[in-house]
Amino acid sequence: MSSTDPDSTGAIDFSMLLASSVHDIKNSLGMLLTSLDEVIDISVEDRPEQRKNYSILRGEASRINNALIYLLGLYRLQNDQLNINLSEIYIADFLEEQVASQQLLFDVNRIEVTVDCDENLTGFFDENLIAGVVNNILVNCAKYTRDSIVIRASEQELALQISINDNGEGYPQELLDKLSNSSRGIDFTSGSTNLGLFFSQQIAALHRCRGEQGFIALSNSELGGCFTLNLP
Amino acid sequence: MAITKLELLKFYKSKTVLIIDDYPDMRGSIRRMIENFGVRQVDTASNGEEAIKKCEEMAYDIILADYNLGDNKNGQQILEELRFKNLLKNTSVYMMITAETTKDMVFGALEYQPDDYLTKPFTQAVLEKRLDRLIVEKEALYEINNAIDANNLDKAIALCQQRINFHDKYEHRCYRIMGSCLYKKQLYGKAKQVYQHILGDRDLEWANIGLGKSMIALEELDDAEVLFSKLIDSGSLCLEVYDCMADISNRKGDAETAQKLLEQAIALSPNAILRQQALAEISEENHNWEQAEKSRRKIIKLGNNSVYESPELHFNLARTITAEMEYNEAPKDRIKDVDEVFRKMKRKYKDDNTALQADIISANAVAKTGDNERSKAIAEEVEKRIDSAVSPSAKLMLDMVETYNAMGSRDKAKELLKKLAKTYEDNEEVSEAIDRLSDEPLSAKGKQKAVELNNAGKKLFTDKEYGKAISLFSQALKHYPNNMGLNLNLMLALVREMTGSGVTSAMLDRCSVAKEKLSHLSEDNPLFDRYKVLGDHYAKLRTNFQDQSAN
Repeated sequence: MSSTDPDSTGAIDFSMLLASSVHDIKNSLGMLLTSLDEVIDISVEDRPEQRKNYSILRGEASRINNALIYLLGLYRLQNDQLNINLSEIYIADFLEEQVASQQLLFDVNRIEVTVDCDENLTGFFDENLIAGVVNNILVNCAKYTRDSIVIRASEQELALQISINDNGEGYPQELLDKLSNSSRGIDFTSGSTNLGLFFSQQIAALHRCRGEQGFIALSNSELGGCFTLNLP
Repeated sequence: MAITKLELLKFYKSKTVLIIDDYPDMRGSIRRMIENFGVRQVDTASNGEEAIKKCEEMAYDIILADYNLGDNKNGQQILEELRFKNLLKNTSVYMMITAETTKDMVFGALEYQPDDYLTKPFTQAVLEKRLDRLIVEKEALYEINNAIDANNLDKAIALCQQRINFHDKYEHRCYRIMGSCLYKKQLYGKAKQVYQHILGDRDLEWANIGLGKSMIALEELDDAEVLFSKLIDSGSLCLEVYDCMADISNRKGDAETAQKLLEQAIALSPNAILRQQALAEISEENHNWEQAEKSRRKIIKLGNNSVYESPELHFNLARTITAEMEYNEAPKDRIKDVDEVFRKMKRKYKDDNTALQADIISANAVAKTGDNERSKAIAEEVEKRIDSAVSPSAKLMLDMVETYNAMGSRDKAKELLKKLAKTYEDNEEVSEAIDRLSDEPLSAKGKQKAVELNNAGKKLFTDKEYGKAISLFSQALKHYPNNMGLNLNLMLALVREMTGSGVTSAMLDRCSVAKEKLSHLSEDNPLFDRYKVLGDHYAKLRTNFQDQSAN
């Protein structure tokens, strides 16, 4: 193996080191999240007032988990190791599952989430990767919406379209501009890296069919913000 | 169509669940979740052996298995063993729990895939949604899966067609089941149509693999090769793709490429016993004894405590070493290894016939060391035991034939083969094995095949298609490696081809292998004159070629 070659320059391949550390951290975090869920289950019955705190704990842990998944994913993307695993997905079930994974967050913040999708609608995409994209947006919406999130899915001209609408203030103009700018990258100076959006865009673009490519879009209406994912 | 919460609760109450995980905390945590769904009977297992034992006692409706179970069998191997032993019904759910995203794992064959993968960490709510979905699906397709479990494939195919006409969300799932049922029924043309129909909509891996396998079965090897090459280039992690590519190369007569492909697949997933077996066989065909022996040893190791465990695995290793001795420079040393194989085996299997078969193979190995007296002594002793043995197997008797051949007792070998051909007249598999060992076809099918080959060969010779004749006879020799007529015909085709379009060292080598097979021909054999003439031709070509390369 070249990485253990004593004659090599001696410099550590930092990105590989990072990737394998992320991998370890992710596994630990997995255990942490599972134990946390159990603790919440047991202690919330005795002290319901702690529910909010627990939900913050869980929300943040799951954000870290998501961020690590992005990092690992982007690393693989860069090294051409990220292959998409297309399979047929039952959309209604898939969306309900994503909502279920963040149910505590929605309950605590008293957000009503509705899924509007035909029971028989199916789509073709990489379930794990797109789950990451949808989850990221849901967690984000939970933070900024007033009290409702509506998820709609439908087939539009042979492509699957999933839109996530909130009734908050809408996405900041700066973000809308950035996403519509074709030469986007990660802006490390602005504080918020929008890593999630960057990753979502990359993941969507990996989905191709009949010469079409997947994409994401952001828009605002008088009701609130709207995130759209389009997969051919 | 939608199933209510109440109905689901009723389903869960009647289901039996098995959880397989090596961490007690994890088992407990999943068990609590499952019990919260209303399931009454939840069992757990901490490793593969325990899990399989439990499945032998009861047919579970839902199995949740962690992929990584420490040093033990992983979740995929458990699945394969359960399917192999018919302990997992198609109406049941097998869900694999992984710490990784699914793409990090390497997939074996499509038919051994779980119903679903669930990535850790997951919450109770997520597990519930997943299980709900699978239970509803298994319920919707119950009749179809039940027909497959009852091995009534015609019924399953008809039911799939009915369901497809609903055009609901299970449409694709039904096409997929239908394709595999058609393939199993050997209706390859129809299976191909189903896969092509799906691929018209979407470029899906399972449909591509299904299509490719149907093409192979239909002998459309070039098309299949293009398709599988494309899958490999696109980074497919399904190892079945490599198996299929190896199969194509082998069918095209390129056993060396086939071996390389299998080695690649095994580097990715060294614990698949069936693939190791394929590699061992093809390596033997290539006379790559080192690899063959390595695989044979690995197979014994993998076979421990599994369904595949049998004395045959040990016999195979000993046979490989024995064959190796023929080509080895210091054959005497290897006899110790054969002894060691059988010493270990006899500790495990103590019945008379197993010991007898081991001694027969040992006599063969001893003959290969050149110690004729000792091998003769063993053979005589073994002959007596065969006479008093209780229903010795065909394989045992065939090993005796090989031993006779190794000792140079060709008449005894022939006599025994003729006897076996009569006894096993109706057994296709044994008949084939007999023809493999024999220098002329003895079974009815083998004789018929020989006539067909002869006629096809004659036509190619008249048309001066020597290249095609070479591949025809090479292919046939795979099934009947010792057949005199075939070896002679191959020599003839090679000599003609080289005389016409030039000598290559590869062709000379093939000619030499065929000549070697005929070296025991006696002068009174009617084929001897032709053999002699061809042998002289070959020698001349070889000398000229060597002189040329020297200049």
